[in-house]
Amino acid sequence: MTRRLPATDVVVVGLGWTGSIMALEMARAGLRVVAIERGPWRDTSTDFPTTTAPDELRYAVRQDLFLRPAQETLTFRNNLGQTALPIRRWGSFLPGNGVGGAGVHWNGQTWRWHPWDFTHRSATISRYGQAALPADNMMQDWGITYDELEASYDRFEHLCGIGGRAGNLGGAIQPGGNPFEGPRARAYPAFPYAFYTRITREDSDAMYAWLRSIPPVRNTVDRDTLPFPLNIRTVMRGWNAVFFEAGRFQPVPGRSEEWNRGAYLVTGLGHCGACHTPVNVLGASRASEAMAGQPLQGWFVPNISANEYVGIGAWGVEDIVQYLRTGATSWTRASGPMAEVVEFSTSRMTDADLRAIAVYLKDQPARGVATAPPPLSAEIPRMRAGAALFTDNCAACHRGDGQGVERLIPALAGNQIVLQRGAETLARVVVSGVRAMATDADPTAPGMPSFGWRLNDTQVADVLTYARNAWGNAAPAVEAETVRGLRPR
Amino acid sequence: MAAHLPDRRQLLASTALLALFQAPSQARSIRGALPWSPNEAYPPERVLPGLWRFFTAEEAAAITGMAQRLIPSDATSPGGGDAGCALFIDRQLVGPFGDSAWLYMQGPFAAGTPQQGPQSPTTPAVRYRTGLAAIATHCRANFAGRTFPALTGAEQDALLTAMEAGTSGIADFEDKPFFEMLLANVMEGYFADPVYGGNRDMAGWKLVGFPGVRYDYRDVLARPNEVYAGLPVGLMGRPAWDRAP
Repeated sequence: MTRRLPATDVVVVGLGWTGSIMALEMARAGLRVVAIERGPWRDTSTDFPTTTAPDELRYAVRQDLFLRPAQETLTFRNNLGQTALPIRRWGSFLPGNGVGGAGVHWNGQTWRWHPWDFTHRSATISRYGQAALPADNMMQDWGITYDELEASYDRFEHLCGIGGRAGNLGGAIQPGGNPFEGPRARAYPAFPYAFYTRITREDSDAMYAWLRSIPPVRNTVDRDTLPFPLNIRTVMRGWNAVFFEAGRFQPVPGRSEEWNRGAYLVTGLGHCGACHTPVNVLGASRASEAMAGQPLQGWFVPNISANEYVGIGAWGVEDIVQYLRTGATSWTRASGPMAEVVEFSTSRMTDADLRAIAVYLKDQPARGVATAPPPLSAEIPRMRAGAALFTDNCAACHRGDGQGVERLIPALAGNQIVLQRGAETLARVVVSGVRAMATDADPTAPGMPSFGWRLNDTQVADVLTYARNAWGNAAPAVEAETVRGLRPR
Repeated sequence: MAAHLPDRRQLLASTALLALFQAPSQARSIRGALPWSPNEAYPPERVLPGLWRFFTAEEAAAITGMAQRLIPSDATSPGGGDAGCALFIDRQLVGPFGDSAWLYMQGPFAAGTPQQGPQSPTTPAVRYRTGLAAIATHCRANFAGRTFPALTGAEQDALLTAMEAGTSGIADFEDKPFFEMLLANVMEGYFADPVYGGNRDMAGWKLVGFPGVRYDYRDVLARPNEVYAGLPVGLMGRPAWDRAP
């Protein structure tokens, strides 16, 4: 059946390296681009996790990932005297399939050609003489030189974040790099690095004006979602009488304007305590445990009081500002419900407001257990199993010393998320995987693969127990029951 | 400099991606944000020992015997038969390898040159079925009714060696191509991940010191010229993952 799709400026057929670069360039030029790919969607954490990627039978021998010749192939002959025959099984080259195309089997390595490679014929003759090439040799120069292509190499490497150590910068040989490579205009980019966008302050009038500009949408709200007895209005009257404290925010005298702005945002608009402050059996926040963290909807909302062990006591104001603005610090990343908070809310706030939030939070009393318990012995069975599990499942990215990769893979050593009273968040991300949030300031969202297919409940519990009690960490052991409740049903 | 930075958001904002699976009606449209869903993973199906799914009992015994001669057991490791190579091949033959489902299998078929790659219209499943039948017929006729598993080790070696050389004289049978396929599949079974049914207890990996499904070797690379002491790990783990009793 023919379907008529909406008109668009450009259609890119095949979203491998070439197609995606062209799509990016044209999108930047303001064109509407649609890319068509015949294979599946693919992503690093789901399709090439460290757990399955080393499977040689599947990928190298049976050629999973690649275009299947049954789907489409081509014919091949070495010379005009042969009959061209279909390639039935890929041999010398491997066309890719799905999003990423042949880019999925570059093994993450890209190398520039040597200047000589572009002028193979003329350079060979000039150095070794015409006699060095047989009369029927068909080798040709490419018609483009390294120098002409250098700017494109440079642009590609910086676009894709190719890491490495330059060996030749503008003709100067660099220690530690390849001294034989062609001259580079500048060093490798090292990592896909973030940039910062300016967030302009919008006053409430502008927000209101903007909201008024959106066409109204009819949406029937499901009103009967409160459980008994809260669905009875008169009960809420009683709850309000006991727990609800009405009143507009009043600045605290003697505190700075910034502190009061932070208090207004944290306790009012931001309603941070709605999740971060534990509730009593009637669902009211317990002021005596403000920001101490609690289990909620299959996550453990972390302690964000000034507690240095599990809270933000050891964070600097700048760390908090950066986290709320970009969803990441050098050692940790927002995920789960907090990722949505950052993506839709705090990443859009002004630096002044974020700073005010940080100043206020830092000034709140420390809640929860103040000091770490003694770590569990590395010699007990669950810690031994956990160490083996960590080495085989986690260390490739989070590193054997739990330090992670700065700005990319969260550190586990000394990370407060790892040390929280409850391990729900940890168990959930191990079982189901998680995608860190992406913001405009930090657009590359690394994914944590799902390990639920590979590890049983006890193994998940033990690897978490290990991570909570290695490298100076210390926190209570995790039990298999905690993991069981987080399995997908 | 900013113009060189990756800007996936910008790309996605103005790019829609249609991934087309077979028919346009199944096209999945992706726009605005990169898709991700929890618990998404694509591990291989785990082979569990049980009834043969492709081989008959007699065929399985023959393959087990051949694997045991191609990779004999000795003081350093169990043999190919002991390590589950027959189970591996059995399960491979009921999958896309067995019926060449992923390969181009339409005509015209011609012999071609070695550079043109495999051109046979016959699938591995058919080659195993007919090949094992031809070997069984040959053995019964030439070894007083005995089939391959009942031959002596020397007789088995002699027959396999002749097949490898293309001189076995087995009727209605291309012995050399069959031997090459068998040897390749036995080695795959001995060295592929245990999840596929062979390489029992990671015997093949322990034999050659292969670390298995490990991804990162920077710690090891920092210590050159040392013997790698780590135990292998499979897709479904290793014994140390479970608490010691």
